[in-house]
Amino acid sequence: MSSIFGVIGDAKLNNIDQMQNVLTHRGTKLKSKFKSDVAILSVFSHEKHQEPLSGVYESGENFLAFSGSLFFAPEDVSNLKDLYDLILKNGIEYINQLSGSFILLFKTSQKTIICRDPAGESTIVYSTFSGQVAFASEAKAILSLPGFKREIDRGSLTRYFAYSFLPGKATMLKNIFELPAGVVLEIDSSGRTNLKKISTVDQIEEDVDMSLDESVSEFHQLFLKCIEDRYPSDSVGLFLSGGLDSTIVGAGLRELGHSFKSYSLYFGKKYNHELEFAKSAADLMNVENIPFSLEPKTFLPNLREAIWYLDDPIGDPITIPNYELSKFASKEFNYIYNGEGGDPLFGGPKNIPMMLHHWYGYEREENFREKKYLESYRRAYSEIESLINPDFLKDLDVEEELEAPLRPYFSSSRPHKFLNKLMLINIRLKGAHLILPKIKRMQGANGILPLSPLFDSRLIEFSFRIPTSHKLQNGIEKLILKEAYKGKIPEGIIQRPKSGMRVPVHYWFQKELRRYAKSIFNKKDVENAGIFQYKRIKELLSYDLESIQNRYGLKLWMLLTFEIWRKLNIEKESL
Amino acid sequence: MKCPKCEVNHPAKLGRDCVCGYRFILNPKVDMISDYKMKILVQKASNMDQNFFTFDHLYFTFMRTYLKPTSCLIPIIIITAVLFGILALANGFMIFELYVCGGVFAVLYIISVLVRPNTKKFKKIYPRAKFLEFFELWDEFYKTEKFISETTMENPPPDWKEQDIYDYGVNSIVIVDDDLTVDYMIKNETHTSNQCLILSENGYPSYLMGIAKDIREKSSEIPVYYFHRYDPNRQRQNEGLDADCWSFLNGKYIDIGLDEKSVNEIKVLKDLKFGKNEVIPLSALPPHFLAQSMSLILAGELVALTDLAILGLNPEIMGVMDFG
Repeated sequence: MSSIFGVIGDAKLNNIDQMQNVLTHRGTKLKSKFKSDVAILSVFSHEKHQEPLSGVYESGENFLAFSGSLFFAPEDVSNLKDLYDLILKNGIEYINQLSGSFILLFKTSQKTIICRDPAGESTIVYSTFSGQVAFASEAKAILSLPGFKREIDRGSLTRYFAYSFLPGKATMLKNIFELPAGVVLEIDSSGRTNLKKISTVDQIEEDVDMSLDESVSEFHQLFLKCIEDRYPSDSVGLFLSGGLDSTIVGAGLRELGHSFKSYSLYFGKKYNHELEFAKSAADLMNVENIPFSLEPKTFLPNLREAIWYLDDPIGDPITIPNYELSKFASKEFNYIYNGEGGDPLFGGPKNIPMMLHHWYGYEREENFREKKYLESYRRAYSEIESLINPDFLKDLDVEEELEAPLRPYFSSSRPHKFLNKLMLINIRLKGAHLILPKIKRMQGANGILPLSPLFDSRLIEFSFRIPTSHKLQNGIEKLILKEAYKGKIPEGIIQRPKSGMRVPVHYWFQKELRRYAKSIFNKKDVENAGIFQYKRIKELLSYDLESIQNRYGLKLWMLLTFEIWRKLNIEKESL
Repeated sequence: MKCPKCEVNHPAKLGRDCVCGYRFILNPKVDMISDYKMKILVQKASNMDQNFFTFDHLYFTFMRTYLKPTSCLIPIIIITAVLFGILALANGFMIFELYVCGGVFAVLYIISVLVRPNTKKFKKIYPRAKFLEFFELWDEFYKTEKFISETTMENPPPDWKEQDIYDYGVNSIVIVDDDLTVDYMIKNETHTSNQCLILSENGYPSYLMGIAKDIREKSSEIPVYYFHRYDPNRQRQNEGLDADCWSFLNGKYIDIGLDEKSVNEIKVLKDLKFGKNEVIPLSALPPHFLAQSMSLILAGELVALTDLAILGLNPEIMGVMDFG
């Protein structure tokens, strides 16, 4: 885990040290400090992690700054000069051939280019501010600059409640933007910014003629390579949920002869859990499995801290358990593998429901795909206007704000297959703005470098190429993963339907979290902030446990996360 | 008359327009129900405007509210408390007064349960057709967005530009006994939350029958569930799905409908006190009960509708419900 931050343009902000002060959790080992007439930047890395490429390479007026890890390049890249030469020769599009978790800044005499790794594992935010472009690994670094006005982006607030994260470039803070994955930020010599798409994933020839056996074999070889390319010269752990994806990562590690310890999360024995599956997988792999039980009384004292590390609010209830599990595992490991990526890349849940929305003949609204996709998140899409104060939403086209991030994907003719369209949305929006930043920040805050081999850019490319029926067939999700590991992992894990990590927020808000939530949402504070309608929050807080389908717990969790984030970032409350 | 909009009592003598602008449509003295009560019922049946509902759902919600055993509890508590007050004033506080009042409370409660009207009486007091008439009157003025009155999916959807929309199958096929129930479930997205294809026993909507057949041909392991009403004339399970359109199943489906056991064991049905020979539709089950049971059955966590009634909302089995 590393950090990069600085300013580009007519350098009025000479002192960027305050940016480092709020990013120390990402490491304090200075890799490089660069200053010229037009750019000031620093790259730091974490003391516990090996990130040999992190730093700055200068060549005359040009330079290349790199922050993070490179797992694979088609050519030999042993230092930053090699990478600089390859980009100079092939253009910035060369990035598409790399695999890693990094931010890269490439400066020539004409322009400066900032980009994320192709999968979007690392994030970068930027802001046009005081005549220059400030950028940083996290928004809090830009907020630390003197004179930056802290204001909530109203459109983002609506999106947050529909998606539970912020898709696309807008962050929760007005005038701070996150660079989307597959897109580069170009800054010309006069400080003008432009976003340019460089990803060609949507142009890949789909459905190439290959048998299931051929797909499975190619997947297996590539998957093992993605695991091996990430393997550090240090011992590793694995977050093993008991589901298919993390289990095959464990099985892959064992196939490669690596040993590891596995960690499994649960929320106390009274709630549904997957420990038996995790244990059966660990037993078969002959590795240790450590169950980690989490209850609100354990995480409540650290809740504000964890939300501060999230940087932009993420309303997925698994964030905080992930933070606590990382804290626990960090006592032993600096590198942890995970199974993130299996669902978005290989036809996981939510694809069949989106297909089914097309099967029945009834009158459909304009942009029904966008609407149905939003509904499928099952967050607070239908609640937005009853939850948020009408004055706060005044003159805002809420529908447009919510649907706009999805429209380019649904309206595009590429990919041709609807399943691949959905996959692209899941990879580019959910993957790059929820799944990957969430694990990066929650684990990174505890000094862990997350390793997500299933989200490798080579696997993304592979997944678009194979016949879609190898991913989803006869209602069977992630078929290729199941075929590749049939007989190598417990049969029960292959057969059972995806259940995901269920966080019992529905019960917690009526029990252990009730008092805390009521204190956060007291009438005076809610009315003073003027963002939410107190009446609706009160209704949500007093839900009936039996009405499980209304997902009140999830809505309250999103509200709670946002409200703590707001107090820390807008009202500048201390931790 | 309590105004459903401003919730203030409006004297009938002041006419049919409330000061807040609300126009009263129903007259509780004549129309068996007030505007306010109708609004509450609609909110209950639609789960606070979140779910679609049919008239049957509304009528059973009304019935359930009316027949609720606790509806007499508050008057009984008041009577007992007044009695206790009188005795305490007359004799001072004595322990025997507690026993007397406890006894009176128990007797009154037992009587209230015994004399509680059953479904038959309810239907007599509030005939279905009459109630429908009043609801339609109210609905005409205050359009209820989530109300489903007729089937609407007879025509197929448009041809989609992507060719793979129907290629990936489903997790299960669900057959229900009534066309309107298909509309009800599709509009409430039961099909997407359970990743299943829902059709009626009549083969509605017909353009999806070919797809159902195709799904079964491609994979005979895809389960087919039959959810249906309780019919006292039905002799045994797996009897009733005999329409020609389902002959390709060769009788291989899982009958998960209401049977005598479920009618006797599911408390929410027992509370409605149906007569012995009455047909009990699926809509008599509270919508959340049916939806949750279906989800758990389709996920393989439960095997019968009665299971949820026995187990309750146990967090251990609710893992398959998406509550995270």
